[in-house]
Amino acid sequence: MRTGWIAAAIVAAVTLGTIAAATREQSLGPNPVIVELFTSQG
Amino acid sequence: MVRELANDAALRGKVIPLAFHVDYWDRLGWRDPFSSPDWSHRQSFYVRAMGLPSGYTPQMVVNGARQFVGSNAHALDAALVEESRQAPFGSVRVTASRDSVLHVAAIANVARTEPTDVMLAVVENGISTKVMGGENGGMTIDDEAVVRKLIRVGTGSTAMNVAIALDKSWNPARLGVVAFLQDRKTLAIRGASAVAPSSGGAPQPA
Repeated sequence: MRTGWIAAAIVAAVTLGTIAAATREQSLGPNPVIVELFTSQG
Repeated sequence: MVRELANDAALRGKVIPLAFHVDYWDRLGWRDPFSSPDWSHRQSFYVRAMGLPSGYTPQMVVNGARQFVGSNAHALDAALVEESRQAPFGSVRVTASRDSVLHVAAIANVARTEPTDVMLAVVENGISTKVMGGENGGMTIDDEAVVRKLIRVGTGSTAMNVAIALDKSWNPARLGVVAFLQDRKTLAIRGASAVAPSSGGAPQPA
């Protein structure tokens, strides 16, 4: 039972992630965007 | 988040990530091998232009105009929507190929009088690093779009060809080249192009 819930949660998370990615792409305007990340491994 | 953007085929060419590894945390026990004082310096330009008290990590800057904590997906989505609808300063096209060096050709047509720099970045994708010290000691970190080189190749309308030496620490097969137009005063970026270099021969003009 617990395995089933976990599997369902994983499927839901993957589906939501896919939807989010698709929505992001569809909502973009026509021009490319530069995304700079300032980061560090340390 | 940069990894997510870099690996999303649907966003390729539409959302162009650049990861600048700053050097001011190197004193905490691990020297980030991709860090540079030049990238910390670039961040300080944004800090000044945006009136922020200081820089921080992870900090995301979208089109040189909006900034937020690098893990804020909602802010990123809103910024992408807004910035992708901004009119470009002009057009910029880039082509690249590699043999013993990286050959890059770019053409920028800038349709404004304000000083607009044509910037060229070389990035490396798919880098995996075992961190041996500092806060992330013991972790293996996978990085995408790590900026290896950033140069200003012109101001205003520009047509250029440049040969960039391949550093021994770079993996030539994983390089990308990005050109973009940036307002020298406000630092806003409007107009960009990205390409994965082909292997062999000099590129045709963009």
